[in-house]
Amino acid sequence: MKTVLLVDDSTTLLMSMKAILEKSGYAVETATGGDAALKKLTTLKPNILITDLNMPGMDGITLIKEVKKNPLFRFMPALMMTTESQQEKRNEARAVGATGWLVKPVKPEELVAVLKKLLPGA
Amino acid sequence: MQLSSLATQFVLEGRDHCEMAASGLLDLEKHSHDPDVVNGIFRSFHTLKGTSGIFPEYLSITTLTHAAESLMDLIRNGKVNIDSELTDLFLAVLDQVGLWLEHIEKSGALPVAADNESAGLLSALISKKEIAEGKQESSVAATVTETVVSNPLEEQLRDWLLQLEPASKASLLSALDSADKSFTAFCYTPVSDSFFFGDDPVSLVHTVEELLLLEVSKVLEVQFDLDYDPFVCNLRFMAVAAADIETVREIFGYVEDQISLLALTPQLFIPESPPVIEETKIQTAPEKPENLQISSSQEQGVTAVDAGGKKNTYIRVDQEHINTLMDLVGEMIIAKNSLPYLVRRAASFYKAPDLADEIDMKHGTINYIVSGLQETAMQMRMLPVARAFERFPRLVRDISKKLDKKVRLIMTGEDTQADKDVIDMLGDPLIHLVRNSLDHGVETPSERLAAGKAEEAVITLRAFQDKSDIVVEVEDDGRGIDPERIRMKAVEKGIITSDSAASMNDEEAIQLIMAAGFSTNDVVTDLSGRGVGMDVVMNMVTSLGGSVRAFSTPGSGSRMRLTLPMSMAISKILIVCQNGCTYGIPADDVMESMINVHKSRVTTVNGYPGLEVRGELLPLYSLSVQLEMSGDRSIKPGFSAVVVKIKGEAVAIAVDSFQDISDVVVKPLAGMLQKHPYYNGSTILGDGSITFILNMQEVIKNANHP
Amino acid sequence: MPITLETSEKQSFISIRGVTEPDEGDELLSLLREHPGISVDLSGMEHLHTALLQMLISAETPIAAWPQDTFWRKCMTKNPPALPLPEETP
Repeated sequence: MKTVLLVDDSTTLLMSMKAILEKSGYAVETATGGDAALKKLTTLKPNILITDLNMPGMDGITLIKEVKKNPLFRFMPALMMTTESQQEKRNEARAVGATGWLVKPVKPEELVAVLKKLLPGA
Repeated sequence: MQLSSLATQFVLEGRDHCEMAASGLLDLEKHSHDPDVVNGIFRSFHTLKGTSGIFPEYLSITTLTHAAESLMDLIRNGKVNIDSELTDLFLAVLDQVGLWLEHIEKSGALPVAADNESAGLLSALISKKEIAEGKQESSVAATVTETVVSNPLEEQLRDWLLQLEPASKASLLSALDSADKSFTAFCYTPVSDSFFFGDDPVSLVHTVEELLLLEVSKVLEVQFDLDYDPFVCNLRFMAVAAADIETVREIFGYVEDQISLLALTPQLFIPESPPVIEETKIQTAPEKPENLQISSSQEQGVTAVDAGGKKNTYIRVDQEHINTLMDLVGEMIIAKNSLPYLVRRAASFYKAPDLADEIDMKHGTINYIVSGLQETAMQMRMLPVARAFERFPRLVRDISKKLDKKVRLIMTGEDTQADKDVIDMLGDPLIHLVRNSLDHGVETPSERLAAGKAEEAVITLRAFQDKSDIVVEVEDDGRGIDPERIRMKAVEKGIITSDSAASMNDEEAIQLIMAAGFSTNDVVTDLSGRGVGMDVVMNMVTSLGGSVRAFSTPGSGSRMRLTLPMSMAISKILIVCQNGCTYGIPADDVMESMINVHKSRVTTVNGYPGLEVRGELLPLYSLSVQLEMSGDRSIKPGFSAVVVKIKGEAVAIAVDSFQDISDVVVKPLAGMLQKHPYYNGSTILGDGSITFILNMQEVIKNANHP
Repeated sequence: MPITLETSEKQSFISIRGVTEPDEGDELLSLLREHPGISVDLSGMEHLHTALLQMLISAETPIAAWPQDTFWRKCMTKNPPALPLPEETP
């Protein structure tokens, strides 16, 4: 089973996405901030990281940058959740190693479709 | 910065294409409109565009070569005629790309202002194209041309569709005809570092449902060797899917900059007038394999292996490996050379003559193998002189244009081979010589006509092999060198006294142009520099163990001849002993050696000693005197003599004795000895001792007779 | 372990099973280097990461057995068949 690490400062969002993903057959672990996510990373060894862009403390771009420094996660896909108005941040995210982005609010079917694309064989 | 092997490959191939396209353009100038040549140039731009496309950071190259390719396409289709102005433009584009490739090789990236550098070229290309298309639209208004600066990836896709197997085309066409479904062709070229972005390109492609056709190919022809980097993406996916364009676009949403899409229509299978004859795949072997046995790149080389006469297969080999192999072969030769010592020791010290014989026999076998090994290793380093010649068509064209002179360049013997180091170092002296010819030798067209010569001058670059030397000549049919003027100038500059100038014959006099600080032209031009040319050429060539000779007939031309050793790595030397030291004399210089010469054969003529050899009296020098040794410098009774040929003249050198002839690896001198004129290098002999190799030309130069 | 070296008396081959990860590229690379010309059994393979696919293409590795999904065969065949493969009827 593929493991997803979800990072967002909103617990509501985390819970709803977790529910969608678990229903689709993924194992989901959540973190409410960049620092917490980094702590969980090495023991969890997720197959994909989905993080919000704006979070108190470490933001999503810095988180992806930090994660990609670890050779264990050099090939791990990482998605950034942005709102329509944050389009310019996408290039920045791409530059630090993000695979792509999800537009908030994330539609359940879109989320599942993207994961299916990025995590083959699940 | 260390380039990835993929980028290195790109630089190598890119350079080849720049060279091929440039020489094609020059060919076109001569033979009007040869469609094969035009196609070749088009292909080079096409490939440059295509391969640069997988490196998003090299977008400037892709953009520029794409514009050049589009314009070249119009020429290919006969819509535009290529003229001298366009040739200049294309050459300038190739120069720009060449500079960028060099920058990439050095720093790993394009210059920051790359786009600014090429802006002028780009707008020139685009405006030329627009002018041409404007004309075309008015004349053939009916043809629908959708080539509005289309993106390069899309063109690749069109090309691919056109090249499909007839059966594939037919089935796609019939599918288009019958179904009310839409079909989409796509070309997906992931960026080389896409894995590190978490992309798995094949997985995206797999997500596309109902793929009718799929072709996965390598973008650059990378060998599966020790340098293979599994995490650099080098694949291109071309496919046709039974889906509409928006569905496919959505799947590749995150990588939209790496994909091009086309809604399939029957029109896509109809080639534009003249059919596109080209290959999208990159050729494994270079077009002119014999020109490329080792590429000029620092990092890599190409080695030719003949695979059954018909087709040469090439593998790229890191030049470091070849150098290491050469070094090892050298060590092996040294080790092998110690066997004769061992034979002697076994016989005389250990009193085991049988063992000595056996070692001697084994020595023979090892000798045989090692010489085969040595020859193969040397062959791997051999390059055709074409490598050093290839820049000249361009150089002669540009400079003669600048000087308003008409010059035709003839090159012969381009396939003459020599060691890579020799070929590489040949370039600069040749540039000096050719520039000198263009600048000083060749007259202006009016001067030539006045002198009753053809308006167009001829410069000949000629190479041929002479025993173990490679001879390269630069000849022109210009005004030649006036020995009288040379004499005057040399006296004026204090290079020689007027007495010696008067006693010199013409042939000797013109050699004076190679003396340091000599220049025959008072006018300084930006082409040949400040007349420092010839002595620089002389120094470069002699540092390679070669020589330069000038020939001239005033009024009808001059010829400069460079003679260089074909290979510098391993040479045969004769080991001589003098005052207890050993020296090596290059065996190529040695004509004859004599042991135990009787004093009676030495005659003194005009106070100088001479040695009678086969009825001829040769000047006799003493090695101890020539090398300015301390101690007893007299020629001892029962001395040995070596007859050497220096600049075509035979002289005898007296030495105490000599040992055998040996194959040695000559190492260049380092440090303080580097500047020592008498020595060419040093070597380690079989017994482990170090011996200097003599530069006989220098040793004899100051005739210090005893 | 999705990538294993299978050795029998007659011959050895590399077996790739399940879903592969890019990190396994190193493993496959060293196996291919240690056994030049070795063939690969893909019959139990579900997904081949591009890095591994690219490696098999570059090394011109013979495929001893293809996976069920014909997509992979198309990826690794030089001149792809013009029409959907026989067993792939939509």
